[in-house]
Amino acid sequence: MKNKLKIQRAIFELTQEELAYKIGVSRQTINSMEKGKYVPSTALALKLSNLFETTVNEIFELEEGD
Amino acid sequence: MITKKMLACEESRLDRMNRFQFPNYAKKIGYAVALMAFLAGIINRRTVEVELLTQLSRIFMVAGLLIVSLSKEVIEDELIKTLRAYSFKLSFVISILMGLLMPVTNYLADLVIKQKSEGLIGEGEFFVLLMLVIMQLTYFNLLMRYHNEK
Repeated sequence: MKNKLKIQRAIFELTQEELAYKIGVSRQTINSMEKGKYVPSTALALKLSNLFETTVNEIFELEEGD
Repeated sequence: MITKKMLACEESRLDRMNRFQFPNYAKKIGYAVALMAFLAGIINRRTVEVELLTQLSRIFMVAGLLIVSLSKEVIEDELIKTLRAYSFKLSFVISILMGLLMPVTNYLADLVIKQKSEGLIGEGEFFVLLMLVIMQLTYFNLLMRYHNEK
């Protein structure tokens, strides 16, 4: 699964640490998601979409084979 | 109706058991217990060699490490939970494989050096492995049943 988390984070001028704090996860979780190593749960995806004031589909995108 | 109530009760008990974790500071206690038990075991082996102390040091070493394994991280989020679940799965499979393979290699080695062998699998190991598999299958089937419930 591809995601635009890094771009969204840059738009909102947030560090990984700050974003992690805002949604109540660790910095490692943000890092793993940005690198595509970890696919978040629906709850976490919704928290991110709420924070970035956009839809989940705008942040996460299915890849072939997903 | 009664079956449904029983299932719900069982589910909540399993859920509580599944969610149970020691607080983060327990990790340090667990490491300390395991380390002290390890050192006590070494000292015992090099000095008095009391069988009871050997057994106790083994028990406390495993118990200490179990506390570490059941302790929360500083930030216990969903990634950590996923990783913990993966690690439990991996350790489960590898433990079973090691438990099955180690006695075989011991058996083959015993054949070569012509010593009396314990057989392909020792009694203690057999029950530990059997317990591991039975417990995993039981819990897996129970959890599957809860999630399949209409």
